[in-house]
This record gives sequence, structure tokens and C-alpha cells, in this order.
Amino acid sequence: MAVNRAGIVDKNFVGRLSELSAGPTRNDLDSPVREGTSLTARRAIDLFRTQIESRHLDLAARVLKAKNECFYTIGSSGHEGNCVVAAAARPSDPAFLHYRSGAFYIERGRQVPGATPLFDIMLGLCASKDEPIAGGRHKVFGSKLLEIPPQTSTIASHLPKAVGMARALSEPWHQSHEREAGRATDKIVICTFGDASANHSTATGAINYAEWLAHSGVAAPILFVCEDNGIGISTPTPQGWIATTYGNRENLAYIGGDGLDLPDGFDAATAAVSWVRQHRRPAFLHLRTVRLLGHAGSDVEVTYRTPEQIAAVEALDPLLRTAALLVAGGWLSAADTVAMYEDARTRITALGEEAIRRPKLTDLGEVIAPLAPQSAKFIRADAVESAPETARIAAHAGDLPELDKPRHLAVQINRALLDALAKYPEMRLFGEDVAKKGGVYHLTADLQKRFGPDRVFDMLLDEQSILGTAIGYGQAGLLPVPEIQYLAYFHNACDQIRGEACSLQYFSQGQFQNPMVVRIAGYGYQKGFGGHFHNDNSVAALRDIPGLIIASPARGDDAVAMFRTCLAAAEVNGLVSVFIEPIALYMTKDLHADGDGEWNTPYPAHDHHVAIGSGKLYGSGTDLTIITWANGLWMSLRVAKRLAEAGISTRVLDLRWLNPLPDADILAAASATGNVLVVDECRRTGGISEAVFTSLVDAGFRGKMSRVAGHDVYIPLGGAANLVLIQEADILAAANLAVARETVKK
Amino acid sequence: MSRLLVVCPGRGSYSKETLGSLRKTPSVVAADAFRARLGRPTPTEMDAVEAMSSRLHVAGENASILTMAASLADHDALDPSHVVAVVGNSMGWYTALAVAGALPLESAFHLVETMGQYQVDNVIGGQLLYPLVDEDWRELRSLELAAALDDTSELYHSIHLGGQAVVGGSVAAINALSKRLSVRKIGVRDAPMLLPLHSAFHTPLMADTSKRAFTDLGNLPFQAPRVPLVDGRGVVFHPRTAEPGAIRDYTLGHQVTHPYDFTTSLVVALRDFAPDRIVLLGPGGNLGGPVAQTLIREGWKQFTGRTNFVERQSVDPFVIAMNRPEQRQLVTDV
Repeated sequence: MAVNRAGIVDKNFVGRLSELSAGPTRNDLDSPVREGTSLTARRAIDLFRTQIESRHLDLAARVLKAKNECFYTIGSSGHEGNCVVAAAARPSDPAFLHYRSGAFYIERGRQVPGATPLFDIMLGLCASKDEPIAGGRHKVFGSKLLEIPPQTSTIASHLPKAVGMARALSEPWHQSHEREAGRATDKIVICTFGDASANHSTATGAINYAEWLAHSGVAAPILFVCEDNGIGISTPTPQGWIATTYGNRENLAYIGGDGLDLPDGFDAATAAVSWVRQHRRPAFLHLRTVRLLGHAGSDVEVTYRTPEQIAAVEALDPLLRTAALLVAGGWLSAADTVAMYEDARTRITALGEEAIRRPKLTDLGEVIAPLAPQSAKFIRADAVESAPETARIAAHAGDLPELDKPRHLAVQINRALLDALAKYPEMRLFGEDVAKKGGVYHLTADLQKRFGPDRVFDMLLDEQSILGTAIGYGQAGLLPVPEIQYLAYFHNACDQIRGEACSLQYFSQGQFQNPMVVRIAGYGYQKGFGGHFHNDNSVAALRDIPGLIIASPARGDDAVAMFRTCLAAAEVNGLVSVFIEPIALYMTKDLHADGDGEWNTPYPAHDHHVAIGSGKLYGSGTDLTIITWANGLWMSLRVAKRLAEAGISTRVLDLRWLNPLPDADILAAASATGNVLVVDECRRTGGISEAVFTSLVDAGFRGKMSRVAGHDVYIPLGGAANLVLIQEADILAAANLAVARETVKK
Repeated sequence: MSRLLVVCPGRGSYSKETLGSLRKTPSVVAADAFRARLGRPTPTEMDAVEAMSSRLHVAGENASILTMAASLADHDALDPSHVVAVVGNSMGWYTALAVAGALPLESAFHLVETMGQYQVDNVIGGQLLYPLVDEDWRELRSLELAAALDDTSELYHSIHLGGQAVVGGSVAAINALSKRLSVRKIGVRDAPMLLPLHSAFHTPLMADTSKRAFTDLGNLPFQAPRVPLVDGRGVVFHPRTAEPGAIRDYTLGHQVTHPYDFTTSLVVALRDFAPDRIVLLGPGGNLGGPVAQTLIREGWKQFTGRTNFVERQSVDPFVIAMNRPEQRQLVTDV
């Protein structure tokens, strides 16, 4: 049964407005709109206008959708009371808004001269490239001017970064930066979400993180605003669930407010905002709302709610409550309210007509442009710049690493981190066990000792919070270098990079950035120790994330230079990089024989640069090209020596970057022999070998291709691990086979 | 019903072509009476002289009231129920206050008269006009101007005027700037163009003027407007709820010493009220250029450039200059 609830709600509203019973006319606009509230009549009328405008944007979206001119109909109807939160906060308080916070957005816009929130939203609905934040790439509430970073509507996935931002706001570096710029140093973060998404692990994890910070005495001024409409699409939230869950927590102040009743909501929001600002601790504002017009335009509500239930919810329309309050109080006449409502309809309808004429994105290059811009020249310039020598000497406790003898990967990464901390005062390094312990593999040893607990700190054991902190810190102007202890741990928090970090520039046309370099210890070959969680060799979930840079060095010198490049890319272009370090090579010193020390490298000079997407070639053999990286490189070079001894000459290409792949280097190396063997330590499915083959085919390579790759199975404990991971014997056999086939063919 | 956005022009709109055009509407009668009481030339008298005179028509104390009276005369011809929002430019803000009902007419006269009298023998610094658009009114930045504003003390943005910049500053700074900028055209005239007898309005050099204004005019009966009124920051003052004190503080404080962003005020008015037409009150219609340039920059109604704008104006004008009879009748005969 297709029933136009938008039309019914609209019609009922106008009908009921004209029936409102009026009190004696009053003009003392600065009096409380009701006894006991701090909301004045003047403010209430302004908020009523905001509520009306929000409603009409929803109604207009439905009308435009029917004409195929609008591409998003999830609306804010029934949630218009969230305007009180904007009214209670300051426009400089960063706000992470979910998709029903339209009235908040409009109300904040009213506080900033020159802002045009109605047209912003209308342009978003129509997917116009003139829309000021996402430029037609998404319909989001976002504005640089209004301190509202765009959110991607992935359920509650914005909460971890909101907490991260709140923590960053109290950071000494950030505070002094704000002070110097003449900005407020008592900002708070606002974060809105629904009652259904409050159940999501990102929400529970983020709130837990905020409480953990509060419990630990770390300032995290965040106001969680749960706009509780009692239903998630079709599934009701159990009665009392939110209040029961969040109403009685030691480290989370809980304030309930009625978002259907403007004065009550306003007083609650004011109390909540002021409590957070004063105490610099997290609070939870539980705002009662209803959901009108269904979940979205396509949602047929009668399939899960009876007509009586729908009508009962519609009777709770918050706009009607506000109108009744103002009319009964004598501040407005019923005719005034109808006039305001119809005036907004006229304006917003006209704005819709203007918005649909605005240009759309029609060019692929234009669509992609803001995703992950790379200014190679400037990245290089930044990467080769070194910290002042005095700072470096202090960082390295007197011993400059380039003067030392060649050392192994773990040592060189540790030194690169010390150098980076000396070079970038805004850099923060954090993760599990990175500070006091210095990391599971001691790669972060001495960092906290040298640079202090504000710059190097341990995190709670939650990867979503770690990556959320990185996003929040990055947005706040810091340069975060989070560590994920093992590659497998990344996967439970993948969406923080996939849905959030890597999408920010894209959905804000570069106006917001969250630069970061995520270090991850990864891959197998730990002699059967630790099981699959400590030997994860799956990179598929990373490789298809748009815009993500993936670096994966095998040797100390490359690691140092590539890490510098990743930091520079973050600094220059706000890029997000993942830096996967092969655990098995951390302590490896030798290549061919015990004690040869051939895997040790000197610490590279500051001007040694490795560009993003550039591979490295070993050897110049003509029989076979081996393409590989990380552990595969170490094994392949060993095999290459044995092949050489057998009279087979090879060249080995280290990919170094898994995204973007060094396509030109791949083609050149492959073409030199016409015979390619890819050595892929990851799984056969979704691993790198597939990507290398595709690269070659796309480039028109007509030579031979073969591969050895890990098996599509979880890595078992003990010696059995070697059955599923590729071994040198496998590489040798595959190489011999490839060359033999070639010989036969010739 | 046509929904109209009313634009009130600033001083300097009245020109020799305008002489003799002032209509005797109720507002003009009131303005004449106000000036007569002060023993100063009335708008009607000034309009009636045979030749334009710098001393009479350009001097601030006369030009302002003349411009205001001419604007009000045009507004008197409109059906007020069609007006959905009002913006002003520079001195036109005082007219806008009256038009929108944020100040009673007599108080608006008093305001404009007093601010004008402050200028008598007391021109502080100067103003200069420079185009930031090409011949087709598409954006053409000036690095020279940007650099000068950056590196010269006592030089400030004064008015953001669509595709033109009005720069204010000390006499020395303005003179130096006028020599530094490459010559560009505004219509047939060469720019940079010095604005005669203009102070460095809307700059920090006017701080004392603002102080005097608060003393002399702080008690004017500012009130919430009858129709939405958009100021030179892009703030909308709404009927009923606008705070009189906020309008006063802006009028006597902020806009006196800070840039008047006419461009933003127009953009906000468009993007909040989506009017059917824009109506330029007053003489000269020389605000038509900045309005059109803003529309073009904004892509509003798909205006793409001067040629396109002029062509479409000739068919179905979106911008109505009240001093053009063929356009005027579109909004006064409805």
C-alpha cells in the first residue's frame, strides 16, 4: 500500500496549526517561553523557524525525488528538536552529525554570518557539484565554515574519530596552536547518532574509549547526542534500552531531554554542553525524538507499523508542539505559524528549482580528483628535509644513525621514528604497548623516554579507537602515526580507514583532511609461532580502499626512506598511508649465509628518496624476472643465487608499494626477460600476484606468467604453517619450471 | 505574486542623468520636510537644479540623503507585501533599515544626516574602486591588489562589491595604490578610480566616527524589521525576533569599521529567499553591475557572463532597475 505519509504529515500539520488555541498576545520576547526554562520566546521563535525549514527540506526532497531530481530522502522529520543542541553549543565546536541532524545544521548556519545552510542542503539533495562540501559526491551535512566535517552515514562509524578529536582538542600542542591563532581553547566536540546505531560496535567502543579516557584522567570533552526515535528502520529499540544502558555510568554524565519539547530539550542541551565545557569530560545527551515520514522515501512503513501506530507517532510531531507552545503563550497567532510554515515552503520550493538547474558531476576525472591528490614534487621536497642536527642528536641520544654500521630493519625503523618525531613537532605516535614497553618488537623503544608522554602514548586495546584517534588527531592538525600491533588486528577496525579516513578528502573536496601513517606489523614466517592472528598474510581488504597508500618495505634503508615519504605525503597532501612491516625480517641480518650481514643496511642519508609507487630492481638477468616484496624478496634473492649457480640468470623486482603498484617498473622488468614469476607471500585469492598479473595484462605484456602464492587458508600453528606459506623450495621449483618451459618453447 | 528582493544603493549612485527624476512620494515629502527643518537643501530642491554640482550633489552630507530619498521614492512604488528581503550597500544600509522597517523613517533620516554631517570638512582617508572581473564580468583576480592589501599599512578592503573591490585607506596609501595598480576598465572609464570626497568607510580608520555615532545615535529606536533584512556580513535580521541592540551595534559599530560585504549579503539573500526578481532602488542603477557580477559568479539562474546576462535581461529581466521605465513597470504594475 503506497501511502504518501509526507503529504499526510504536511496536510495534518497545517490543519492542526489553524486549530491551535491562542493565549493572550504577548510581546515580551525576552521572557522565558514557559515558566522555569531558560529558553526565551525570541529564541524559541527562531528555533521554530529552523524546525520548519528542516521539515520543508525533507518534504521538498520527496517532491523532487518523484521528479527524479533528488537522490537522497533520508530526512530529519521528527528530529527537528536537535536544533537545540546547535543553539546551546558554539559554532566553533566541531560537530560530527548523523543524517537526521538537519535542524542542527541549519541552526548552526544561523549563527555564522554568510552561511547559507538551506541552499547547501538543497544542493546536496540534488547532487549538484556546487554543493559546498562534497560537491555532489554524497548528500552529507558538512561545512568547513560551520566546523562540521562531513560524515559518510555509515552507522555510528564517526564516533571513534569524534572521541579522537575531543582528545586532540585538549592536546597541549593543539591548545597552544589555538591560542596563538586567537581561537577558543575550551571547545567541545558534538557527535550525534540514533538509538539504533548506539548498538553498533563503533558506538559502544567509542563511548567506552571516552569513559576510559575520563577514568584515566585524560581530558576528552565530547557530548554524545543520542537522538532516540525508538526504531531502527523497522526494528523497535526496546523500551528504556538507551537510558538503562547509558544512564548510570561512572565516567559518562547522562542528561535526558525531550527533543519533542523545545524548552525541555533546550535546557537539557544547555546543561549538557556547559557541563562538558566545564569538566572536559564526556557526557551523553539522550534526546527523545520520533521518526516521521519513514526511514527514507523508499521505506513503506505500513509493512512493520500499523496505521494506528504511524498516526500515533505523527501526533507527536515536534513542530506542532513548538507551535502550540508559542501560540498558547501568546507569542504567535495560529495564523502567524501557518504563515511561517508556508513562507518556508515557498522559499524552499524556489531553492529547489534553482538547485536542480545547478551543474552535476559529469567528468570522471573531476569525480576522482579530490580523493587522494599527490604532489610528487612537494612530497619529495618535504621527505628529504631533515630535522635540525641538534634536534636529531638529542633524539638519537648523541649517536647519529648514519654514522653507525649497517643495521637490521627493526633498528632502522626505530631510528626513522626518532628522526620523524624530531622533525615534526605535531607528530603523535600511539598504539598498544608502544610507549613504556617500546612495542612488542621494541621498534618504539625509547620514543616516549625521549619525546614524552604527550607525543608517544599507549592506547587501550581497541583498534577502532586507535584509528579513530588517528582520524581525530589528523583533523585537528596533528600528524598521527598509530600502530596496529598485528595485521589481523587491523581487520576488525578496517572501516575506520575504508569508510572514514580515506573518504574524508573525497567527501569534502579536500577541505577536511586526516593525514596519517598507520604502521602495521604483518605477514607470516615466524617459524610457526603465534598462529594465524600473529601471522596474517591478507592484504585484500586494504588494497581496494580508494586512495590508500600501502607501503611495504623489506629492508632497513627502504623502510626509512619510504616512511619519510609516507609522512611527507601526509604532511603535503593529507594522505592516509598504511606501512606494513614484515615481522619476520625485523631482526634478520643475514641473507645467504649465517653471519654474512647482507640484510643489514646503512641508515640512508636524508636526501635518499623513494617515491610512492616506485619499485626496486635487483640484478639484470635475462632468463627470468621474479616480482615480489617483503619476505618474498628475501627468499627470492636467496633463490636467485642458487639459480645463478645453476646457470639461470634472473632479475628480482621488489614492488615496495602495494598501492599504487609500480606498474611501469613491473612492465619494464617483465619485458626484459619475457618470463615472469610472481612470488606472493599472501593468499592466492585477493593477493598481490593477481594484481601484478592484471597490471601486466592491462599493459599488453605477452610473455610468460607464473606464480607461487600462499594457500587460501588460515595459517596454522607450528611447522604446519610452512605447508600453507610459500617456501624457498616452492620458488626454486617454480623458477625452474618457468625457465624449463621457456627453454622447451624456444 | 512576484517575490522581490530589494537592493538599496550606496552613496555615489546619484548622477547627472538622474537630475530631475525624483518623484514626490510620501517618503520624499518626509525627507524634504526633515531637511527643510534643518535649513539644508532638500532632496527635491537638489534634484530640481539644472546642472550637477560637485559641492551640492557629491558632498556626503547631501549625496546620502539624496540617494536615500530617491531609493525610498522607488520603494514607495512597490507593493510591500511582495518584498521578501532587503539588502543595502554601504550607505544604502541606512536606507535598507528604513525600507525594512528596522528604523522609523524620521530616525533613518536622522541617522543618514548625522553620519553625513560627520563628513563635513572631515573626510578621513579615501576610497578607490577597482574591477576584479574581465569585460564579460568573469572573475579576474589582481595579484597587485592582493599584495598591496597584504603589505601596506592603513590600506583595507572597504566594500566587497560583486566584481569590484572598493579599497579604503589613508590618503597616502590610496594614492600609492592608485599608481601601483595596472589600468583596467569599468565600462568606458579607466580604473583604479578614486572616489571623490569619500572617507575610508568601513575600515578601522573610522573608529572615531563609530564612537561618535554611538554617543549621538545610540538611542535611535531600532526595532525588528517588518521583512527580513540582510546586513553586510550576511547576517539575516528576522521580523519579530531580531534584537534591536544587535541591529544598532551593527549599524553604528561593525559596518562603520569593518568591510561591507555586499556580495555576501546578496548571496545570502538569494540562497535564503530565492526571490523571483531583484529590485534595484534609487538613481543610476550603477549597482546593477555588481549585482549581475555576483549572480554570474554564483551561477544563479545559470547566468554565465555579461553577454548572457544582458541578453536575458532584455527578454525577461531578473534584475529590475527602477530607473528604467520598461523594467520598473514589471514590478509596479502588478
